[in-house]
Amino acid sequence: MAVTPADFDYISKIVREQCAIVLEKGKEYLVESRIMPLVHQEKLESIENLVKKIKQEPRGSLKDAVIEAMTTNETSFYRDIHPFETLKKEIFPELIEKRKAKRELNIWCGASSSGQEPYSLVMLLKNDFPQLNSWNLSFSASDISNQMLNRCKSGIYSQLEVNRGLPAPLMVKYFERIGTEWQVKEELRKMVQFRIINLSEAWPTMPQLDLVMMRNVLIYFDVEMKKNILGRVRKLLRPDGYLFLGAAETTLNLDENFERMPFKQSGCYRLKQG
Amino acid sequence: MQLYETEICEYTESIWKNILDLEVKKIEENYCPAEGESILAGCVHISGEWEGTIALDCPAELAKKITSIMFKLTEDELSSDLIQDALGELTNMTGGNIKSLLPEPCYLSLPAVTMTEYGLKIPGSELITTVTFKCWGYKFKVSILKKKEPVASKN
Amino acid sequence: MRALVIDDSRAIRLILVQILKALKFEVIEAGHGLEALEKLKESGPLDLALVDWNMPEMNGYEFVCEVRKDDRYKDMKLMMVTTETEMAQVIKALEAGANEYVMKPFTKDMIVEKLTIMGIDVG
Repeated sequence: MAVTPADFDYISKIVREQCAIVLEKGKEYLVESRIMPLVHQEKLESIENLVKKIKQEPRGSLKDAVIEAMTTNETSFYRDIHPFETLKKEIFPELIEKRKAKRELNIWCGASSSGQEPYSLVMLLKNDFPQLNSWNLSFSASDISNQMLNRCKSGIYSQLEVNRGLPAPLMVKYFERIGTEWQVKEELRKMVQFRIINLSEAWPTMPQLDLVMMRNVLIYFDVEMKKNILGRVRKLLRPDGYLFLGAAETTLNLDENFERMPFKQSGCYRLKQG
Repeated sequence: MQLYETEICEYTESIWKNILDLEVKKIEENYCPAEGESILAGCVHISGEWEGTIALDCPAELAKKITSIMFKLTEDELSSDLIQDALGELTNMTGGNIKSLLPEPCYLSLPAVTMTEYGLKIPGSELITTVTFKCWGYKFKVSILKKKEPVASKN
Repeated sequence: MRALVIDDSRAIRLILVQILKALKFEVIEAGHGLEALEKLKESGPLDLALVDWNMPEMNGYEFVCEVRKDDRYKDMKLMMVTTETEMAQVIKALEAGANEYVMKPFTKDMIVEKLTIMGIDVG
């Protein structure tokens, strides 16, 4: 069911006001695919009716539900695979070698959504770099949505979710079955500090970072906010640290202090070495 | 709440959504086929630590629609063979998923499908759960039947 | 690339064959493990087999064990696609030599993602 230009503008406006996320023209399909399930759930028949209802009750929970639906991503474990292969083969071996004196590594996933990305990383670290067990590892993962954060903390996934991109050998090693669902084992869950961070607002104090994951989230912001976020990442990143963006994202024309690393479809950046 | 009712709903909705792209919803009224109505009954048996049967009863008309989706054929092109295959596989997936909730180890039989006007009767079993769903205006149901404990015989 | 799809349900074979053909695989079908072994003898080693578990004649687990006994097929990727979803079953299949495991019901995306993590380049 198509969204009318007026309703698209209205939804764009409330999403922009609440979380500075920009839905440009051409993202109508995104609105339709994210909002229609909500329309069905609320038995409203059309996006038009849903918009009417929000206008009638601007403080109602429906508005929050729309924002929730528009800002959360359906995702898989090891999404796009190449960034994780680059991390496994290039980035972690290099960082571990460089940090072996202090034995300290600081990682931040800035858009952890329902948690598949941080848990993919934690499984990679645990499985392929067991020497890190004795290191001082600080791993934080954040998302804008409270509901997503609770999901992340619980580490509980449906059968359909663990079917997506999660290698079976890792599933049997790091998950437990609970009824119809699957839960990340506690030893992994306690390695990650989950917190709410709205990227467009002030960030809490963080240590100097070795690795920042910020994949497929800048696309939602306007140019000024993209520049602002990249500027703040630059200050947090250690001079030899790495930033990962989505494969289709770039720092080009936004922040000239970054350079793209020549790893296959990885969206891997570091600060220009001077 | 009947045993595994929530789980049956979860699995059935997921199977129909992912394999057929159909939304099905649990309804409160029970599916009781009308006199003379053709229904297809699929069942898989479970043996091992738990013994019983998982059954899927659905009107022949709905089974045809499902089959035409699975095989990407029009309803005129379907044979009873294909309809049995499609319903058998849905029953297999339903039964296999429910089996994972039962005490281990349990073993799943291959699915059997029959066309009937009376519904499937499994002698020596008692119905412990039955959930009726609605899809496209048709009703269908998923049931768990547990094998009755043998009565100790006195000689 | 060449793949074998083994499932006793024709409906499931059709769905899997369509997914693989769209990924430019040449696909051979079998309705159970024994038939699959026969077809494999004719075709020689393939790149991939998608294997159901519960089938008549020879089940998918037995098929995996048989294939892994034969050194000619050592590079062939074996992925279970099955309604067996207990953790113990997943472990059993992996120990027998399956490379991956998909629990039914599945979607096209799931199959593609699993092929990718097995190192099969699906473009």
